[in-house]
Amino acid sequence: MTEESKISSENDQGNLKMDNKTKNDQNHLEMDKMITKSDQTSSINISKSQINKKLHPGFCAKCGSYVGGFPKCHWCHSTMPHAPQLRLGRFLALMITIGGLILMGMYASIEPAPTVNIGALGPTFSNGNLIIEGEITNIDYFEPADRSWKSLRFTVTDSTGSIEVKAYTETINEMIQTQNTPALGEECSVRGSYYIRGEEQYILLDNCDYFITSREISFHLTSDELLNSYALSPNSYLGEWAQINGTITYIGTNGYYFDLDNSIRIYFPEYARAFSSDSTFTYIEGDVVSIEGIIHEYDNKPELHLARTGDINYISHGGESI
Amino acid sequence: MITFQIVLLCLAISLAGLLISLFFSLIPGLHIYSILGLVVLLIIERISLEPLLFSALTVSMLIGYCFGSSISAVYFQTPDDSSVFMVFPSQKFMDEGRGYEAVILPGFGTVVGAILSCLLIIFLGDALVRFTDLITEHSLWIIATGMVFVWMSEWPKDPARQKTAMKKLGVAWLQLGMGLFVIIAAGILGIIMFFSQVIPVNRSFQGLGAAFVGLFAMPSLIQNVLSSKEEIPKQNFGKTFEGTTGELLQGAAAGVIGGSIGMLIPALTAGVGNSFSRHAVAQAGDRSFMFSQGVSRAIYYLGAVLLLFIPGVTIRRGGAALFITLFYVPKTQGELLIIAATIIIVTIIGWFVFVTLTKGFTKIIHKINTRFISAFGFIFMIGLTYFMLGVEGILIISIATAIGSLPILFNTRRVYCISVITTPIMISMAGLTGVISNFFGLA
Repeated sequence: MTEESKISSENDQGNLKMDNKTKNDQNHLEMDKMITKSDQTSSINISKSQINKKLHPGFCAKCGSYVGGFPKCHWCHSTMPHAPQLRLGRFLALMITIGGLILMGMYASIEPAPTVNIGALGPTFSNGNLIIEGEITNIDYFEPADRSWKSLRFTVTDSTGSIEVKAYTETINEMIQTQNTPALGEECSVRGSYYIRGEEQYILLDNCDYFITSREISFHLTSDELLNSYALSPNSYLGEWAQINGTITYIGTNGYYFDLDNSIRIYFPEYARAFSSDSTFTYIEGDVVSIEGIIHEYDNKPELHLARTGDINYISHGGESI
Repeated sequence: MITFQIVLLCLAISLAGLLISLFFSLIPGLHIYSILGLVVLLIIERISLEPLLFSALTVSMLIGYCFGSSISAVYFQTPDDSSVFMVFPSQKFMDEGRGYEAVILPGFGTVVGAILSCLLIIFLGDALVRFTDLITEHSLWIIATGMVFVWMSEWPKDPARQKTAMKKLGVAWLQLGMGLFVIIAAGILGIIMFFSQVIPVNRSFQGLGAAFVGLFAMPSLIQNVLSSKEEIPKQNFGKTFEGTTGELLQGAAAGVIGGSIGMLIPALTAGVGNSFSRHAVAQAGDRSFMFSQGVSRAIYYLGAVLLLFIPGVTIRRGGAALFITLFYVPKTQGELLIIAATIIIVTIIGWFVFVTLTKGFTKIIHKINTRFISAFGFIFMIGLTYFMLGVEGILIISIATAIGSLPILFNTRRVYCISVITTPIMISMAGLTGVISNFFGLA
């Protein structure tokens, strides 16, 4: 930029610069001129509204001060021309805000989260709050040795597809505390947020109250009844929930499994043990118990898999401690 | 696999994205995430696009938006959450016939911000990842501190010339109290939207779009249509404008800090980041301020996308990164470098297109009736919201507009409306989702 053009530019800038104070002064001058003109030619009546039209909006018609978006002039306390509209606007905005939020809250509380088929989920559902229903077909649980955090993933399958559900430390702790943990083969309803990251999609469960399970106990038997019935028709029993009553006759190493009446093996899966708030196995041989579990097969015989420690109930204590 | 053909296609699609978004950004009130949402719908339902090409298209549209929205924010007075502070000095510049300067400064800031964001991610990516890991578990109190600071740093605008002390106190607290009311109202709106499903569930990816448009853009559009403002004076422009090195450096520093806060900390946008950064660098002067706004917006929008491309981690910040992860998660250094190169090339080309557009608008803006432009923008946004989100979207945009109008009507800060994001995220981080959902009947 040459010296001349710099000076020219500065002059232009100087001519263009006009701050509010200068504008105020200009407006006062304009008003003085109008008032003087009015005095001189008394037949000309200049109303306040005409003066307003001459002044910039936001300036006081009486004293010429800049007021802006306030209903009254700060200096001479006169009411601004836009005051009625401003007050109406304020009232309407407040009413719509309060009324609208109440209505919206009521509308949202009718169905806070819709139920969706797993197969219908897609990219446009991302971040949606929804409910899925189905059977738990896989469980994967992990916590490090220092137990500083926990990670739970389980798969829910319905007739249209499968999806993974994830939960983390705080939610898992609540689930364990309330004994509201997933079990293979159980039907469940999960409410959470749907996320997509590339090819990975999952539901994030962040409140244990939003995980509801149900199971249908198909059989109520003794251990001998189950053993005999299973031998006749294994397929009728595999994968079904059963309630078995019997006496603990043998406890395996670390309590990972035990036998009822020397005939049915009861297995405590690793995830079920991890979900126990107290991992100590407190049952002893001779205890009479009632057990709920899913029927699997091991060594050509039925084996009951537990879901949680709450699935074992004492009927009576017995036997001696080992 | 990245081939030379894909690289060329990236450049070609980026140029198309730049021009499309420059055009759409001129529509007052339109946020780029609304247009990106339409593009995502098109890709899902009708056409298929290689994910890397979609990423290139996304960043180019963001650049076009950063440039184009400078024009609409200044000339049509419709800022979004990241440019809401820009309106005030630019109004003054317009009255003085310096609208061109008010547009070019943030635009130049966009160029600097885009280049800086690429350099930051490429050379300091590892440090940023470690920093993000460090602050993740502290995000709750950081966001809370941010919101408290934004509210407490507001000063009553009334000059306290009432006759009694009680009246002076009342008038001052009317403004501050309404600011707090806006934070609470926007927060409740966010709670309802985050913890339940008001909009159609198959449009959840655009969940916050209607709320943002209602909170930040619609009040300005209505204000422009209804106000009795004077005609815009003729604007002047020259080949150069004044500025000192100190102003540019101060503006760049404020922009980097503000944009980085928005980029790295969840829920905090560039608008909140800027309120910190201005104090941090003791920013003074309108030119430095407007330049910093451009820098911070570019770093906020582009830096957030580039974070996603850091290999080995998946840091997802901002709506654009969310859209990209709907299709794929970048894994390689090559993808990061291609996107960074795309940003730089498109920014340089975009600058020249932007300057030409700005000159054209500057020549004719005094002849344009901005009321009609604002009315068009209003109708366009209502139509787009209805198309994307249905009747529920119109309900949300109406309530959000009422909330967003409160700061204008009561002379308080419009940035308080960001509570629509910060409040539900803080509640979720504090583990109080169940308690709050029960309280509002959303459980």
